[in-house]
Amino acid sequence: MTIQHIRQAIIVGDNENAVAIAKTLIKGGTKSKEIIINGVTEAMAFLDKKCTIQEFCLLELMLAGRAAMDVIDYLYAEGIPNDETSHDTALHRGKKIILGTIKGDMHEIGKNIFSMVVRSHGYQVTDMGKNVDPNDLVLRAFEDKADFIAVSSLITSTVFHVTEIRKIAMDKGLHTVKIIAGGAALQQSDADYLNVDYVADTAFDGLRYMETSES
Amino acid sequence: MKSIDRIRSTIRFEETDRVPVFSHIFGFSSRIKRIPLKDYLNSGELLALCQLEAWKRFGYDGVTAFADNSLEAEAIGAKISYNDNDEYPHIAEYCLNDIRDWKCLSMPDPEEDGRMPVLLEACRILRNEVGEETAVVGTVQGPMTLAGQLIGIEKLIYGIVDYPKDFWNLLNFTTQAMIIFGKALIKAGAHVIHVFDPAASCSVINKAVFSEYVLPHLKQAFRAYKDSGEPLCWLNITGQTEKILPLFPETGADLFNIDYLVPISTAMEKLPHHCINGNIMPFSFISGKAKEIQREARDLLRETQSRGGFILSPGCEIPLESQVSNVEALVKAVAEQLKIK
Repeated sequence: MTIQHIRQAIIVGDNENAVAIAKTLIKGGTKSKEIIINGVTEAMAFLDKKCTIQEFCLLELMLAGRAAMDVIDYLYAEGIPNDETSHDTALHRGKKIILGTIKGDMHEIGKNIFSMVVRSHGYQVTDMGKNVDPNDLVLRAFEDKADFIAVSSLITSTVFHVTEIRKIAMDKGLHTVKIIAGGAALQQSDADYLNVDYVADTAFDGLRYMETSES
Repeated sequence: MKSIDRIRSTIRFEETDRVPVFSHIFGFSSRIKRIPLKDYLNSGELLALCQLEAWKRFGYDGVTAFADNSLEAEAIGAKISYNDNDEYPHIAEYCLNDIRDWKCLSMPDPEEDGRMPVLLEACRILRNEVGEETAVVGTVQGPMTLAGQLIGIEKLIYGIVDYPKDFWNLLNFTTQAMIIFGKALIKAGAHVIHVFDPAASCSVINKAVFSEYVLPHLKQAFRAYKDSGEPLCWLNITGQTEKILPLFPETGADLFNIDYLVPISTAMEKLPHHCINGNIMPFSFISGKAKEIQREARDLLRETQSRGGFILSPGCEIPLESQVSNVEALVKAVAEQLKIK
């Protein structure tokens, strides 16, 4: 068994096999950092290439995301990445993102997918859940000194609440926090209309924006 | 030419006086009438009144007996909740916690359970009022979408892989429920049965799952509808559907909705002998200007003119916050095309 097998198991969404291989490799002395970077992250990179707005498929992404998270959770549960091999250290140095489905919408699936994708790339995610007031999102971003606020919505009646986030953030002195929007309703609009920094077509598109805006 | 005849002829690729236009106006009709959406969704009389007024005001082809995506799930036992009197409800408590418990579900009685009687009443009023003048469209949730409303979409998706037999059985249940409700709508006067199944799009499941699990159930439902009268059968899978479009004719439906994510040229290529409707981006009805809607509508009419078998519409329901002038622009585009002819 090799890290390539973990990568493949994640891509096909075989979570139990992915974790079983990870266990075997850890027992054999493989570093968790290697598993994360060459297994989990590589698998997600493969899905990233596949996952355009035309090719996006929730089923495949959710299964792969579950497998990736199960591997990461196993590595954390074992207390393995506690040193320089830490997942956060290895990838995005613990950049923080506050995430929520905006007030007026109860759909969580897009948000959860985005959470899986960015967590598997080492971002620290605070998931505020669904129907989240923009004031609460900003307050949490302020308290946690977050780098990003990401909101999702499937219904258009929430647009007003999305447009409020920037103003609340500015009033609170959060001038540098980046605001990202996604989800079926918000994708039909644009960043200017929503008063956000970026409108992501897919979870990976959002991830790429975050990576780009860090550099 | 009456709307209903215009639609029937278009479906058969026959000549018509003009291209039919569907508005996908549902809850928006309550906004126009300044009636709280919650009242509209809970009264057959109000729903029919708002639909009729919107139809008369804009002059599009059809009125719709449809409340919201939670209606069937509520009739089966889900608890729904409203955040606001002017917003659609959501499922507060699903019927199922585990997909393997599908056996515990009870088939709804459309004359008794939840708000199904409200919709049947709306359908009866609409049919009495419009007769054969325009199409009365009765909407039911498709098998995949209703399943998602019974257990939650995430659990449903994991269920496809983790418990495929139970997933199949849950779709058997939801298909029976949609057949029962659809037949009741036909009996109440619906000319058209509109099956709305966004969770069956390629944005959610892949072609293999659609083909193996959803397609047989859609076939079964449309066959049952056709056996109980002569309804026009309309399949509406919003979202990305390009890869499954060639499978649509197998469902037995007469008309296929195309969302804005699929270019109309692609839909025409994949469905050369079937009627399609679409596909202006719904959000444009909020943010766009009337001239833009009209230009987009004109482009669609031009693109589909030589082919026929086309009904102009938004890709999906127009949002509650849409501008009246944008709906007017949509309808105006077909009237203008008539003048050019």
